[in-house]
Amino acid sequence: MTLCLSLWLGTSAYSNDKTAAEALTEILPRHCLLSADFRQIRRLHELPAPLISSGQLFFSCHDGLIWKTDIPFNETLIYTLQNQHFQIKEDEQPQLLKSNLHDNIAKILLSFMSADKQYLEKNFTLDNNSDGRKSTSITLKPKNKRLKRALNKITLQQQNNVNTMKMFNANQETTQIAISNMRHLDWENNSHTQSSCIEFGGKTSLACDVLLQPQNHLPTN
Amino acid sequence: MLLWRSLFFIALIFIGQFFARTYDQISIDTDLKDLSPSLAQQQDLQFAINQLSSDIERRFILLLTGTDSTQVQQASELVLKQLAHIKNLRIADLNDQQFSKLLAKLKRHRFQLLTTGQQNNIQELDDNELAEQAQRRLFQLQGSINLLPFADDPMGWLNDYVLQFISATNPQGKHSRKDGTQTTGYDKNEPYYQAIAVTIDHGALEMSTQKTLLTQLQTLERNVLEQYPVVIRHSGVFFFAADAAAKAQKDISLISTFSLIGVLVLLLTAFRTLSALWLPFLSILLGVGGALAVTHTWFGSVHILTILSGASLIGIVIDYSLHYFYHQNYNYNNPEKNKHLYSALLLSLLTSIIGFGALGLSELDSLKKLAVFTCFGLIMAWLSVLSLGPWLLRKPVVLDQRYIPKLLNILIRPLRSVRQRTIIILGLAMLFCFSALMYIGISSNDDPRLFFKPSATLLEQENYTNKLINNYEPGRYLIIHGKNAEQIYSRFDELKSTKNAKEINSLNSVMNWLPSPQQQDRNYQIQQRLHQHNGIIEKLFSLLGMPDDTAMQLHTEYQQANQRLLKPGDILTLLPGSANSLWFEHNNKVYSFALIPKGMDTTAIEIASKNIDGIEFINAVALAENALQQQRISASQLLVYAYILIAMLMILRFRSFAALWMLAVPISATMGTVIVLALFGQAMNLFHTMALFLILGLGMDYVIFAREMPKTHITLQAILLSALTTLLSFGLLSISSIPVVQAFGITVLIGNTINLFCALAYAQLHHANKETKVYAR
Repeated sequence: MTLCLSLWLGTSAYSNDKTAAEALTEILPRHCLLSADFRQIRRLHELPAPLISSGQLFFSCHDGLIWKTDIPFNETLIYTLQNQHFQIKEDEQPQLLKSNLHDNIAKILLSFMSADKQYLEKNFTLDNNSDGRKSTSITLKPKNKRLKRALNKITLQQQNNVNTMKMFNANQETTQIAISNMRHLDWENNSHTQSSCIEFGGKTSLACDVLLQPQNHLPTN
Repeated sequence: MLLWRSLFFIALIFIGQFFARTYDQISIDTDLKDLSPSLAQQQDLQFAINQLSSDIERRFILLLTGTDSTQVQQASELVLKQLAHIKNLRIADLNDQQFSKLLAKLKRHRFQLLTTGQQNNIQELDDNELAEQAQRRLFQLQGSINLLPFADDPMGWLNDYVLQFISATNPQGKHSRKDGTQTTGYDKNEPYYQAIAVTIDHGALEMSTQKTLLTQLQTLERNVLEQYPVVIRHSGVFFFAADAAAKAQKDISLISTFSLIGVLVLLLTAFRTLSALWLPFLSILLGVGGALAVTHTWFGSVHILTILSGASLIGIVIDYSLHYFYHQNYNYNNPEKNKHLYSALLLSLLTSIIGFGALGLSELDSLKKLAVFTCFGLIMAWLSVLSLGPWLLRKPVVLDQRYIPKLLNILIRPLRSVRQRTIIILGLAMLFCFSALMYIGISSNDDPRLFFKPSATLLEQENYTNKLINNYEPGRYLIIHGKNAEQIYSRFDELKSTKNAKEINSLNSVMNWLPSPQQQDRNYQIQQRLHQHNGIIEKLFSLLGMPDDTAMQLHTEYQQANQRLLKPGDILTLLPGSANSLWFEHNNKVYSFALIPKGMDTTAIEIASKNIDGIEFINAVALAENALQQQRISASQLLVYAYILIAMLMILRFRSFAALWMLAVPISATMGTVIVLALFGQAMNLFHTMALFLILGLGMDYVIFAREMPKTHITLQAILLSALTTLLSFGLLSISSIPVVQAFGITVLIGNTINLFCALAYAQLHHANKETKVYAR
């Protein structure tokens, strides 16, 4: 969901009179290919200090999302539109993720990135908290009771060109993700996506291969 | 007479009281399981099986499909919203309260619960690697969705276990998608789907509840279809039972109406006065009413097939009135001569009760109910005729002198020219054919699916649903039994070790979701290194800057959880749907069920289970088929006993072995029917055999009157009229849409036709002999 923040980088003047749905339309991404940097801050009420991580992301509207954490660990998550998700730890081989948890996270993230407004409106109650011209802020509360058990709400905020997504879970823990340094590209063809992905990932072309051809990385049995 | 009248009035009071008390609570059962004999000999096991079956019967699935994911999703939301307003239905999904209880339970046992992957990790990774893994998880995206606070579940293991547990116990199956966005690839025209599992609180197999629920569901579906372009399909035993019940009801209505009209026309033709209808119809009304009252009081409900077969009671009940009319009318001015009539009526009732009473020896509930229903129906009708007859027949009725006597003459004419020797040759030929058939072996079909023919639409919907979601077979499953939970798990593991692990893991069994007591203890032990001084937890907490007492608190909770075991029965009661019936403990015995996904090839599991003690593969259809076969064979033996008993009764009554010739009538009809059925390629089933009992009863009725009553022509008219009414009511059963009822009807139609001709022939011969004797004297 983080990524949706990136989407509203390009938004211009905002009127508080707009409905939540209109506000959401404005902040959802408009580019089929994009890459960005992210910084995640997680606060658990038992921990005295927040947990901070950072990395990069790459999204292709035809393939899915690569979420690459660089600090404090080197780890890459790949969420594909084919509903197959992978994890690559350090320089290990991709591992298929079977947990429903990843399915749910992938679904939310991909719906943000692909601007699936229908999905978001269907699964979340939208509330416009914008403060005039100073900031654009939307709260999304899950409608699905299973998701509601783990996730209270998500807020999306755009202020002073800083895009933030904050998730509040049922245990009063928060995860805040800031997206910056967004690079938009127009989709041309598959090979263009591949080259853009490799360019984004540098040495990690394995993640691009998994994103573009997940079927080649499925377990054989 | 005083005795019969007293009994009649007592019965009348009983019937009146019954209907006054329960007129709105009469329970009409449609459970097809009643028609199958018990599967298990052990009482506990049978109880467990019944409980499981009952839970499966209560569950159904509504499947919504469409071309647009949003429309499918919105339509399913509307379905859920409207289902919430139907009182007797519950969505088979964990509600918030149930989830909180489940989570609290699992949290209490969190030191015993680990997934296989977690167990491997603990055993394979060193302390630093485990600590790093826990730390890494905190930074991962999935770490942002937690069910439990970090201090309670620092490694995130219980969180993952709970998610896996909920996914595995999801009543919609592991592979189902609830969001309506999944492209299935199964149907390109309707690629999006959503399955909604629903549980019926009570009365899933009760006709009145079925009617109410079906109407409510139809309204719901109409509302949804008016708003969204989706297709709604059904899956579940409930819809098949309701379909069978609706068909049976349609049959009852059709058969009763035509039977009533036909009998009415026949009676008006014979008696030409409406007043002659009172006695037959009152006796039918009181006979069926009495049958219903006694059966319902005795068994607590009446099966739909009992009523359907009981509808044919009209055919027999009416016989008493007809004989009463014909002979009472004839002897109207000389009541002394009615002694013959009462004697014949009593003997006729006794033979019918012996014939039908033999059905009560069956182990099938439905046949026991039919025996009670029919015997008491006959008794009540008989009492009604004797008690109400004199009151209703105050003046003689004008008997038809045209149609019935003419028809009788047409039928008798060819018989007059038939000599005794010809009849004996025909009888011997029949006996030879029958013996040859017995020697070759009669073809039979004991498939329980003959009990009803499901509609093609329902079958298509069922198959379509099963291809999309992970549904379970209602009639095939594994039963694992043992002295305790540990033994059950050990037997299940033994089955897994027979190269069928993949199939076994896909079974819906608590053994696949919850570690065994021994494994729970091992899970506790292997976590010791996390909770010791300077162990992994302390290192992790220290690394994260958490106060020391937080780790100490967790250690204390770990120590307190020693020897704490989560029993399967305790966790299953917290789950919705039919999960609760998967585990059953009674009298120091434990039974556990493993449900099989539909479409799975179970051959290997079936073979493997045979070699392991305490595991049985249950195939309800095969077992029922076997039991029905035994019942058919046993019923055939009972039929022979019934003949022997009736033979003894005849000898006692007539004090002559010559009276045994009377049995030639039903015997010929029985043999003839079996031969005709074989000629038409009909495979015998239990209901064909049961109909042979009726042929015995009817044949004896005809021959008793033919012998007992002095006025042959009058008697034969009464027999002809009664045979016609019987053939009409039973013949109509042969057009029933229920295969077994159809089998019953066809058998009686053939058998009773032969009965009629044989009775007429017997009457001819008997009276010819009598006249010869008189002449000789």
